[in-house]
Amino acid sequence: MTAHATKIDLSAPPRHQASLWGDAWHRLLRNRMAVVGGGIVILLLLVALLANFIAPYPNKQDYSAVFQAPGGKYLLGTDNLGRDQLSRLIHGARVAVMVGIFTQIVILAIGLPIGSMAALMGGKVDNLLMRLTDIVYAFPDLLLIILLSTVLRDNPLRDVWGGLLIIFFAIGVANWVGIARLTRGQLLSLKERDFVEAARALGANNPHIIWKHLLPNALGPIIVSVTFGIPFAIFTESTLSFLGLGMVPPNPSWGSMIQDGYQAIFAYPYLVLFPALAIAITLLSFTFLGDGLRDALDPRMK
Amino acid sequence: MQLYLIRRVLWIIPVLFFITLITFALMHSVPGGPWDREKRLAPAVVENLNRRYGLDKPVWLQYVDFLGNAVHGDLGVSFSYQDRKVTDVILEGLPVTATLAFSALLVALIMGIPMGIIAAIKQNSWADYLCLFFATIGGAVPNFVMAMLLIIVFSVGLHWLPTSGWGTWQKLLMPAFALGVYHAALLARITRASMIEAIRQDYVRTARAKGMLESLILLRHILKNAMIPVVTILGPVAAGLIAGSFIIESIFAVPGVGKFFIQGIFARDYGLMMGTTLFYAAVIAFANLAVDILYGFIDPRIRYQ
Repeated sequence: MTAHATKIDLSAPPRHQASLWGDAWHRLLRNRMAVVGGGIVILLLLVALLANFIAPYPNKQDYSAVFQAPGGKYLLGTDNLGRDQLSRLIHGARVAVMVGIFTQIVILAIGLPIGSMAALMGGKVDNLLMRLTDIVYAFPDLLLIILLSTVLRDNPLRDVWGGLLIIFFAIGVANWVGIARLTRGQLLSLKERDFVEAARALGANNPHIIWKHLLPNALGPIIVSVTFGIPFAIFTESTLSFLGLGMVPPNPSWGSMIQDGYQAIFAYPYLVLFPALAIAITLLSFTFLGDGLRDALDPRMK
Repeated sequence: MQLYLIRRVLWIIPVLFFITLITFALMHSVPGGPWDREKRLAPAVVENLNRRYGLDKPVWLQYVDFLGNAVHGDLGVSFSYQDRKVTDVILEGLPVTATLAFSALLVALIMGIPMGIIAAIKQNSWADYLCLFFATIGGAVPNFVMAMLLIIVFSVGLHWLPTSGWGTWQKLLMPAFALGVYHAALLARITRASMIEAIRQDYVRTARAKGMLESLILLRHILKNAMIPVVTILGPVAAGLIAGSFIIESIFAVPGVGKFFIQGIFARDYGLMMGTTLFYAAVIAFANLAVDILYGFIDPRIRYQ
């Protein structure tokens, strides 16, 4: 027998810790389309944040330069009032970002408590809340949003952010059902899982279980749903503004820019083309990012 | 099954009831009314108009009246269309909206399902990527943006198609396409996913082991089973087509129900707003019901209770 026994290193190998979020992040970075989408989304956020610095005068009218073609002094041309299209597009990006974020806040503020209450209290409360979601769900959402925004237009709040506050509210009130159902479903299935049972056996109380075990595990699908909700909200706002039911003029929204440009589409198609492309590219980017996040956060779905 | 169906049909009643209630409450919570004009009407005139249309009664009584009449199929009169009955206005727009929605459905089916099938059979080939690319773009671009892009290409650029109107097939093409592409993309995605799942099933391997013709396997085993999820999505698709049509209708000046809905909104025409909203909600509820029933027939594994 040799005197020196092989020394066994019992400490853990220097291996990178695989956390749920770290893994998801790496999976997301491997998805090329998601990275492109995410990049464009970040760019959009920057443009939105810096809109006032890059383009200080989105509503400035220059009657000596109406309907200028793209190129030259006005990179993307001017509209019927001589307003710079690029500046208006930049401020439209700001509107889009605000709509995307704030409607999701409204949706989460309504949907999360309702979904959690239904799942955690069960019984009659669950039944009642679920019937409520059924009814809201049966209401064609665009119709409900249009009705709500028309109703809310005649009140002082309509001057807040050029009418955007009303739009956040209208879209949020019509669209919380998805999150509520998702939260309820997630919590119901998580509640029965072994790790929750284990935590309970170790003496964890209800708030601890909800905050430390249920919500973090339900977060993935909720994040994915929010990521898909953002483009939907942007789409809805642009539709409303296109119909003339959204932002109060002269505030630039991509939807109202398309509506304005549509009046002269044969002579100046670029007035429609640029905002239409802005909407399409933005929504596509969010879709790519959402697809990537879904695959990254839930590898089982692949 | 029968019990389920009865319950399912009966559930439509409270849903529609609540939708009318919500709509009614929303409409009447707005200050101002249908008689607000640029030039203000004399108070006596407004009073007479209100009395004529029953708007001088308490709101709850107006609602009860509306419900009582609605049960008998009478949705009241439109204020903005010279006293025409709302049901007449809707019936006038219905064939137009139905034609548009049906054409868009055809666009969605004819484009979406073959694309999904090809993508699934040739998984990870260039054809698959092309289909996925289309499905992503088609699914991300809103229908009015699609309409604008189509107009720019086919009307402004090529001068092939008229931008507005109704009555000829040329006038139908762009609206149907603009409305249908989104749903084509949706169907393509779902068809592809459920085809891929069906291809991997044991019964497909068994059929192949028996030496069955590939084309027969595809037809009898894969397609038949892969179409089940596709059918379930047809309910939401039909709902989306009907409810999404009003934007397309107002862009292309198509004289359908959607045009009246938009006009009702702008004119504060209570009768018309209520009637069209109820119409859309009912169509969507019945479309979903029809798909549920269909689902039970094509998939014998489904047992409703």
